[in-house]
Amino acid sequence: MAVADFVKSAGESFRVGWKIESNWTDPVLFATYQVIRPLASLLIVAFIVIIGASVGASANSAFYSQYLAWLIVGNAFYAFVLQIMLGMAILVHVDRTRYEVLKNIYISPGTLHPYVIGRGLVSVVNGAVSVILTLLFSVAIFNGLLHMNIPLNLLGVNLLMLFPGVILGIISLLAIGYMLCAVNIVSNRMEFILGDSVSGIFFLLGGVIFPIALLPSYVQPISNVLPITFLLNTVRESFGLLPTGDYMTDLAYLALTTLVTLIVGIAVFRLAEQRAKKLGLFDRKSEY
Amino acid sequence: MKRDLSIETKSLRRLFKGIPGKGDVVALDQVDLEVHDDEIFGLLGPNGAGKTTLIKILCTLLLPTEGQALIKGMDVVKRASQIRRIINLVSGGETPGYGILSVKENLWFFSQLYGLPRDFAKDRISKLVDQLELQDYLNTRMSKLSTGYKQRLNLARGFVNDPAVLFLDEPTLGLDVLSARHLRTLVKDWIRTGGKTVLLTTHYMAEADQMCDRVGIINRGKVLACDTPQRLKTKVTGGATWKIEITPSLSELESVKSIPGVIGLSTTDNIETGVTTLKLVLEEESIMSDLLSKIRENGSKVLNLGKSEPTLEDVYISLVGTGME
Ligand SMILES: Nc1ncnc2c1ncn2[C@@H]1O[C@H](COP(=O)(O)OP(=O)(O)OP(=O)(O)O)[C@@H](O)[C@H]1O
Ligand SMILES: [Mg+2]
Repeated sequence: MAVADFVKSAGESFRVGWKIESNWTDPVLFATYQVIRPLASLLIVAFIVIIGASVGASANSAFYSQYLAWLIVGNAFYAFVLQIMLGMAILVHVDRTRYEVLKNIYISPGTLHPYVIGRGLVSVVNGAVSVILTLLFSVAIFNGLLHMNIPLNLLGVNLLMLFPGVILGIISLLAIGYMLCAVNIVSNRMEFILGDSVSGIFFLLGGVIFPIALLPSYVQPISNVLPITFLLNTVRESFGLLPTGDYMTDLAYLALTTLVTLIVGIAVFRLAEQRAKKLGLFDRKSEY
Repeated sequence: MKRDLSIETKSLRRLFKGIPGKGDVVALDQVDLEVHDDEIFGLLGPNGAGKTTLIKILCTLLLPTEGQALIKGMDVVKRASQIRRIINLVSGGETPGYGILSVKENLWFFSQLYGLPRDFAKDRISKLVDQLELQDYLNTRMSKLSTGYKQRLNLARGFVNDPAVLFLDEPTLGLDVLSARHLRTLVKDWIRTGGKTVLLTTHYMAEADQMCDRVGIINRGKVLACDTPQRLKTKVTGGATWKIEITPSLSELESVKSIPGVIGLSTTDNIETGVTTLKLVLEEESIMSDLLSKIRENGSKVLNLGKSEPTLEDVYISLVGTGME
């Protein structure tokens, strides 16, 4: 398939995805998924930290406000993970059973690839909106409302450091989303737990709310091969919140893990596609 | 004159894993089929005969277990991506499309999956919308369309890439008489534009008779006969079928069916009048006396008896054994 055709199909899939799944037209849904949900989970953790710091005898306020900034940034950018995992985990299921479009998309020249990418990009945009709003609300709440002076300067972010990391991170998340689609193509029973469980694992092991060094030593190796770990490192470095970190090393690891994820993602997808053709699964109805 | 082949299968076989312990299901068994350019080819067969399975293989949705399937000389396994450009599939009873998008938006989406240039795509969509009389629903959400109009949209989607080979799997399922006729006319007009081929499955004998240049009858994965409807009628039934009206209906249908020389039997009950019509294809006329006495033994009275012109249904009955409900 020519690149131009691929881009066209992906672009149109993005537009369709935007129309069918975006919550823009419904302010309540929009607020719930894009703002309240990520913000709520952030606030819970943040207040635990704040309370912990205030009851601790040797509370070092500089240390804690630094940690809060670290936490806020990690939580905000975790929205990409959440949106992409949840979005892509149900894509195939919904298209196959509710819209019955999967087989007709599959028999078009690009098969499912431009479609899955286009739809995945909708989640990326949703994630980006969520990230920005979470950051803005956090600054407004902690620094504006509570006068906590958290070292979170949104205007001082080094964008030249931020973008390469975020772009690579998104590619790796899309590749993982590809794997979730693949699982769904061959299995009709996983769609509701898949997105939650994978994003949950990344939440715990990816250094979102506490540093990886605090994890038990036997799970740290897992953290150290997850792209999300290095994505958050590069993001925090571009916010100036990881003084001990080495940006170039983290970026290199991110690139490497992204590449591996991409290769595995495409391979897994191909396998699923092959299996679906063997068993006749593209037009399978729900098994419930 | 030998026309080019649009669809060709060679000893095509497809197995599915059956219930554990019961062995595999043979959905297609040594199917050799040739469909030519400019032809509407109909596949008739009972539920589970393998019609959809064949279409899925030809549409690159399913792999064959053995044998080969070709579209325009291209192998469906090896050259799937070239094939996808020139085919499309419309399945009856399905509404592929996004409910919250309008007719226009749905068609536009699929046109872009085929990479049609913008103006060209707009043009084609507006033509299709005219042909399918969807003008008034252009901006209506798909979810608000009636079954018939959804099916029209589905058909428009099937035409959107102007495929060289169009697969229609029970396209008139659930349509009212007029809509079904409209759809049939449309497909026939389309094939006249030249260079097109349609492979259609249906459970409606009249539809196959009226639309198809040739018909294949398939049962349990095997193609039992394949010819023009006219030739099938004379060849298979020997030119004579019988129609017997009786009352009350037979309690022991099997005993009649099992009389040697009865090739096919179908029954239709008229609930209002209590009259049952038997349609029979017999090996020879002499069997009739056996048959009539069996009917009387059953306690039924013969009201009417006559020879009738064979129909495609008779062909079907004699090959498959039972009529279609
Ligand atoms: N994905 C599948 N897995 C297992 N068995 C299958 C699968 N698809 C079809 N079959 C079996 O293959 C056989 C042929 O089915 P197919 O759908 O091709 O029949 P059909 O002629 O289209 O019937 P109908 O008129 O009911 O649509 C059936 O016995 C069916 O149960
Ligand atoms: Mg079928």
